[in-house]
Amino acid sequence: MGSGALLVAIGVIGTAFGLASEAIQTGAGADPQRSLVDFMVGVAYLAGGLVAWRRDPLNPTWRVMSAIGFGWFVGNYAPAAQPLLHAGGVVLADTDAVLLIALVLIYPHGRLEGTLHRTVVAVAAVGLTATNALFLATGASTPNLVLGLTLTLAMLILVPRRLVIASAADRTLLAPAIFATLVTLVAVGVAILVQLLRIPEPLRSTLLAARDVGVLAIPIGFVVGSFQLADERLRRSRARIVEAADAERRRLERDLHDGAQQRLVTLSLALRSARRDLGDDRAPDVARALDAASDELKAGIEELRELAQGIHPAVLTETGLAGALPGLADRSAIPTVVTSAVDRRFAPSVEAAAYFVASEALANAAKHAAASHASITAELRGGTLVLAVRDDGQGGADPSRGSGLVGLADRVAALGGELRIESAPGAGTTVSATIPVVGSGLPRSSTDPGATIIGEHAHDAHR
Amino acid sequence: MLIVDDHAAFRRQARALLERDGFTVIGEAIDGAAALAAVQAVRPEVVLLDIGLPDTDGFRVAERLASLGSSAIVVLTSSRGADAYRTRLDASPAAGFIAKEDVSGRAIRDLIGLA
Repeated sequence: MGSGALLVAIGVIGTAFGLASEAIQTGAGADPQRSLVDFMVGVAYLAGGLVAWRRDPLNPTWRVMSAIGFGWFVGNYAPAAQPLLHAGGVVLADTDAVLLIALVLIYPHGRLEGTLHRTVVAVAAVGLTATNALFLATGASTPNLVLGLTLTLAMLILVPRRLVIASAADRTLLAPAIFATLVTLVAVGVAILVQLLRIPEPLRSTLLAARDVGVLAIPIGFVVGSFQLADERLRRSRARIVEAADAERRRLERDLHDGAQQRLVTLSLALRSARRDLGDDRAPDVARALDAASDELKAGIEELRELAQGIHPAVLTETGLAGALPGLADRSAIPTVVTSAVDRRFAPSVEAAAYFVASEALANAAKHAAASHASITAELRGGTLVLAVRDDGQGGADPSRGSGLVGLADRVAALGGELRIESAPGAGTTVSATIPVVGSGLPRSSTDPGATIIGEHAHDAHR
Repeated sequence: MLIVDDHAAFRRQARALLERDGFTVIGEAIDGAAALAAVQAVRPEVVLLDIGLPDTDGFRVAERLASLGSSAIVVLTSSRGADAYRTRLDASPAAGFIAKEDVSGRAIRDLIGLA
């Protein structure tokens, strides 16, 4: 992506902006050591923001985080002798705070959601700027500090609240960022109290230094979050690919069923009708040919049926795992017991993954493990579907060696789940899949023939 | 006999074959709702019922017929195999299942125990 040079330029300009601001601070008598820490905090936001921006270029979150790197240094210009720099430094000193509030509220998707969040950001931007302007004009700092403390307390409520109202999928993404934000908020809140209550030295310096370390939590937490965000995005795209493939397989099976299978089945009946018409006494050669054709056709229909079943089992679409797992056991080459405590429906890709895991594990048990019995168990633990297939075979299976289970492990992982294979030599094999199902449930089909409107009537409905 | 299937070609061939095999086909229906109406209207002795119907499935129709007190003997059929349906077949009031390509007068008589 061509914005690499842009990001480097922003980094260089931001660093220069920060260095110049620290020069003004030390020139005005600030402790060089504190200036160094202050510089590093600003650069941490800038660098963290730019790194995440590069990784996730379409998400505005990272532009805001990079901008905090600039905003952090604005207040340092307040002691400048140049009047415009001085005024700008004072009035815009809380740009970083406004951007921080925005950053925390737009993460992870880069949007301000809800009137409440938008209001808080607007109040922060207008209020902090206005109270700083008041300070510039009158020297009164209390209104700004009180507003800052109020906003900090509001954020201490709003930030954990985000975790509560977030979707389950977003919750994991939010956790590190929210933890980091709380650390920073406490540090910032304490620093404001230090100034409001005019806490004397040396405690004052210690607490202000603690704030500078505390605000480092946000860039760290958010950069960790950006990695998680990238992982999550990749996982969701894999899940979509699996879903699309499943949908395509269902369509193929349906087309086979409605098309070729119906025609061949009908042809089979037509052949048998012709054979009946011929009777047993006439044209024995033709009769033999028709019988042979019927047999061949029957074999073809069987093969097509196996193929369609392998592409996507219709029983899974129609009845879910509750109906499909016993069907698998019935067709298994070794006696198989199904213990299923699962009678609800899940997202089609979840059902398909569980079904194909069970199918493949049973096939392996029969083919490679020399097993004499197998069992399938399915249960729901919390928001996770747990499916396990056990056999009493020789064990020692190596899942990495070309087994179809590797592809299934990918399929399960794409749904955020995990496939495990335990196969100690002599101890049988257990294949277990755990698949999260939270939010993926489908309402049970409620088609009731008695409730539907009567359709087309039979043509000749009389005896 | 009533034939319930949404594929016209199958209904036609099944009807031709079963009539040759001595059944009197007194009606055809293309979906579950039409099947319920037809059973009540023409009172067939046997219903050849496809499992995959446009508005519902054959199992539900069979259950519905049983709950309505119909005396019709239900024979389920499908172009899919019986294996996939075994558990539901065991629980169904239907007399049994015959794969579509195996449908014949004799297969139905064997299944329902008619002479």
